[in-house]
Amino acid sequence: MGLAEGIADQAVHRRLVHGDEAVLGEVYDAHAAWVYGVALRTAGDPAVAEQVTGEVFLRLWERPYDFDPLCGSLRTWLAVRAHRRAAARTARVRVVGRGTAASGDAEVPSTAEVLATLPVELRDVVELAYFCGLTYRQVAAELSITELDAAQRLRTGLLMLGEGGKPGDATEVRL
Amino acid sequence: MTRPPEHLRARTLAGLALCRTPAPPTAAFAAPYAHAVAGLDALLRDLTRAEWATPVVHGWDVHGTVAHLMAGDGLLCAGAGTPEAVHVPKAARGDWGARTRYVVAVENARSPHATWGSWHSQAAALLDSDAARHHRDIHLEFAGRHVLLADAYLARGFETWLHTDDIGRAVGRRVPDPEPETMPALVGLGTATLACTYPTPPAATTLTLTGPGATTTTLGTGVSTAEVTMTTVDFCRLLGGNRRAENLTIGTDGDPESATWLLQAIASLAIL
Repeated sequence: MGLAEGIADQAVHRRLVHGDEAVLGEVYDAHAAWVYGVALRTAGDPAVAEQVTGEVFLRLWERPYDFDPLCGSLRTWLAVRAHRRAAARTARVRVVGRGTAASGDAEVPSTAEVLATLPVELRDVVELAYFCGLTYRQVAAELSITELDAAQRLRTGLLMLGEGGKPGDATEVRL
Repeated sequence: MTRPPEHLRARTLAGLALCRTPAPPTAAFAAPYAHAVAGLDALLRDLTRAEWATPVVHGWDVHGTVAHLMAGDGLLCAGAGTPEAVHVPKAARGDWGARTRYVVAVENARSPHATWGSWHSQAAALLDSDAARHHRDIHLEFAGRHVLLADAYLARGFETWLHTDDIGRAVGRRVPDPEPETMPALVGLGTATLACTYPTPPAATTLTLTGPGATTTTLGTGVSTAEVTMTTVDFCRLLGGNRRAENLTIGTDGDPESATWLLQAIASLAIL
């Protein structure tokens, strides 16, 4: 996260906390395409992506303290929330669609469920790289960590993700 | 980059007021209070049942601190023509300490969410009143002083901000500073309070405040022997008893005794 972005995010956070309704439109204009893109890539369904995008922005307005500008950029926060919501929505649709499927299917955890078990420092990196389409260099910049650290966390996270049930395809990550 | 459908922006923003009430438009003197009320309301939404019982300040937990704020806000209701959330007996009405003790005791018998609701309703009515939008020549007794209603709104903004910060630190949430454009008024309140309660210093000392609302003032008479420098936000924190001097970045120059004396004088006011 760059210094200018950090300062801008702090001002946005301050205005959100102070109930300045104009700021949400500004945040939407700056980040909606990015958030929608992440949700669409995760869910693969424009209707789900649309719903998730609206929910992520309204959640930011309703619970502004969920976002701490000193712990990461707003762009990252929005992307991670969009991914989690879209993944959870897609998993629910799968479970409902599965109906009376064989009991063995129900024991296979969804990617979202496995992701939730990863330590937060790994989960953020995996979500940004694997689901939000960032390179490890961009992930490093987003999370204010070194590129080496980002690459190592990504490798460890993907390995853990694979061991947890659904294998992560490391070749899809843009390094 | 894939763009979301055009209609999504209007649909999202239309849902905004249903999720959380925006701060209402007010006159400049009530803006810090409007912002702080919105900020505290948002913070309280986040709290778990256990967090409501977290110790905050002066022996109060979060529930007690909100009740304390409600007691102080109640002083403005008669002047603003709005209903007071708790009917305070006449004997305790004008006495700051007795008023707080009474309201905190009443609210302790209620649930934290009931107290939160009462505090917010009372604050929302104060902010929606004509008194918050227009400067009127209305005076009231406030914390032992005869003040303009407009100045009382400003003081409530000051106190609500700092107690929200107290709660935020107790429960691990970062509370932002006030909006930069409201800092001059908050600093003005602080320096005016300091000037009217400050004891005669042993030697003139200069207080330089930096950042939004920056100002310089010399306390005492004669040639200044020392200069104390800090940000305007830290000055408000120190004056409000929200932070101790040793936890702030404060620059001192000149006679060390005069500088220390000034810092102790500000901290001793601890007006909240």
